[in-house]
Amino acid sequence: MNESLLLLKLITPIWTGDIDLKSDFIRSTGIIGSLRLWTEVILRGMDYYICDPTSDNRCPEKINNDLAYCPACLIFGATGIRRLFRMEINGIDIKKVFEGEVINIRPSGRNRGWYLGNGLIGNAALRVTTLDREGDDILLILPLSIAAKWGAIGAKTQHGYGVVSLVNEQQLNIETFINSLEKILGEERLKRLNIEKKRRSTDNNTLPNLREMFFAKVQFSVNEANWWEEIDGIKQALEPKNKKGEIDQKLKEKNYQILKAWYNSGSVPIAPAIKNWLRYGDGRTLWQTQNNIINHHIENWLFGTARDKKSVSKINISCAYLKNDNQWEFRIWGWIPSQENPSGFNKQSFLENLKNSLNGKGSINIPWTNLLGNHIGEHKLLDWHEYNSPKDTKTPNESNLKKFLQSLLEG
Amino acid sequence: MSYDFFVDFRIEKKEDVDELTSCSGKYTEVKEPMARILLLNTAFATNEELMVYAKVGERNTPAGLKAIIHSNGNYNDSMVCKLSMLDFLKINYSIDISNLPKGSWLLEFQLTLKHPFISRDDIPFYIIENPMRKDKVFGIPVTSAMAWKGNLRWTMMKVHLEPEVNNPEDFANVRYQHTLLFGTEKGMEEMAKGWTKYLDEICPRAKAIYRNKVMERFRSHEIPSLTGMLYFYPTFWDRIDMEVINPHDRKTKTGKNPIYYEVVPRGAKGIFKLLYIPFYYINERDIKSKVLDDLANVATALKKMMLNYGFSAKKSSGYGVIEENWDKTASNLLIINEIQKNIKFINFEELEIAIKDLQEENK
Repeated sequence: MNESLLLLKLITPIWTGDIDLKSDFIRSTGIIGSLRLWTEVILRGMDYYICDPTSDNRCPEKINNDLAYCPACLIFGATGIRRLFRMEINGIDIKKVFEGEVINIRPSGRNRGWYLGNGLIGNAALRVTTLDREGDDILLILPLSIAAKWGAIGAKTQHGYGVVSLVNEQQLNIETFINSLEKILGEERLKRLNIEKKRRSTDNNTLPNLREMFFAKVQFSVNEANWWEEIDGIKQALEPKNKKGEIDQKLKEKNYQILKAWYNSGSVPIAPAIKNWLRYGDGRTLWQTQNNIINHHIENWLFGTARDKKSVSKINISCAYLKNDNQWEFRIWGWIPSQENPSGFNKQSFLENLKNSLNGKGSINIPWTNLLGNHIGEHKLLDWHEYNSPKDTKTPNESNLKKFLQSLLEG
Repeated sequence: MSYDFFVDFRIEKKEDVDELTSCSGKYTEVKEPMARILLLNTAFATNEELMVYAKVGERNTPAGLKAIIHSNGNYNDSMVCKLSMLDFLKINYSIDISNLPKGSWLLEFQLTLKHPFISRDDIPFYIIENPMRKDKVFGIPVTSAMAWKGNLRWTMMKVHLEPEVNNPEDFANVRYQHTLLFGTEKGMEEMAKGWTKYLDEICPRAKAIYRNKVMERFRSHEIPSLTGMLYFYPTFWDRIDMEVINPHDRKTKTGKNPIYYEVVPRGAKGIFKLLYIPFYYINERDIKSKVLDDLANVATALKKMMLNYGFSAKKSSGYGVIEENWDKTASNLLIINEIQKNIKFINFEELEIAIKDLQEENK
């Protein structure tokens, strides 16, 4: 038995929902599901066929008399094959970020806004026990490490939840991951288990893939403790008006307590302010078609919609979190597929525009003071990572996926 | 009016589910939660929408099974009475081992779940796909004796057998020991399969040694059908709850077909009981050391099963482990004749120390 204990610090609130649509404790199923998603993304990037476990095409597939599984299912299990490891997550000093049900953050111009629930903050211990003699915990730890460095885990990551850091981080090597992967995909092992590796390639191109993802980190400094009170959306939540246009004192006090508690926990929900600008404000020029037509099809595809054909935002924006002293940081990352894009949308041009704007060099200046208030400054794009792209700030045009993954691991 | 309970009280519309949930209207007399849950099954004869309503109700207004089991806690309330009935009927009682052969021992302690426990019931018809396994008469969630046995045998294999794969002699000895404790392996047929096939394959050189050892011990030309020296008892849990897993679509990242299931929630309590009767050692000289060796090996595996590996369905997702400490007064290690001890312990560490001391005393 190989057992490892990983300590996670929850930097922004984490959300793993329950039957009451609340998040009262960290549920390992939510974390495992999220880690599977990150594993799928990495393995698809490595050109393996990975099934969609929520579709009818999921593993296993019957080939002659044998069952065939994709590499992700061989790691995380599927009908007829057990997961390679056992994962148990236990909260340490876990508490809700605030008391109360949800808070409505409604940036300027919005009628409904974003409803944010009380996620959990604190620390968590993740115990990974390998159950298979050929299994290695790096198969789980590497995707977790990439998620911790560049994305988030759990649910509602598109709203800023789930940024974590690994406290007892070990040096990870991509070669070790590949060796472990090859070990569990070895012909001899599969033969012994009477199974085969799934090799179909259909529908693999339209699912999340590391080669089609981008990751960015932005930092800014603040010069006053109550800077967060001026963030677009939070400002309005601190001055809530009733139908007559008068300030609702009771709601004002409640919202203040919630947001103050959120800030005291070390993060601030800025995703609504930035998303609002990107989707409805001047940020639209970054993604709209060349003839400046606002295309709602593109808008819903890129930022998500709950109407008709439901879709989630392709862009995730984390809460801002304290880095050190007066330095704050937030992440933007996402998967924008190269295929099946709505007509008129140009992925490369959008990402180029977004990067330049975050860098302060684009044709559109991000109105930071409108979005995040007057007490912030020195905002800068710290890193931009994208596979085989000149935009990548550390390994530009890196077309070797191993090297690209290693650069992601190095943070 | 029909004289069939399920026909007379069948669900036809949402209002029926509401009345059934709140035990009002035509369901006023149907007080027993299990009977109300079974009546929810009649929603299968209606439409998809009503079936979903009978499972969980609506987004902000729980109804049906979710309300009875989870939101209103009706089921847990009724379980308090049922558990006291179990005590009254002496079904869930402490075992008297005073007349058993020398060297027999009884190990019992209180379990408090750290993570929920799941064990799927085999009831053919239920309003959700994953009902919790319950006692047939009282409807109390239960970990069956078979489940304990299967889980402990698997853990013993992980803890004591697998590390010996490179030492065929030792591997065969441990495998033989496990056969005495748990009985014949599943799959020990003319053409080995299942458990036996796995053990034969991970250490092929031990295969013949093990078989010879068993056949020699029982003076047989083939592996006899054996019963084990360990006897397991069911654990009755004092609470039930409901959970959901909602796999997210890879493209839209929205929940797809939520899967509801019943669980015994964390914090629930039960009693674990294990009895050992060393009938294979009765006339042997070194019975004391063999009994204590078995006890030590079982205790080590129990610790791993209870705290690390889990004993539940979905245990690879962290389900089915217990808190490390328990009420000392509710624990009991009772060994009879010659060794004669009654030991109380608060956790596995104390139990292991006590066993080690006993081994020293009886060397």
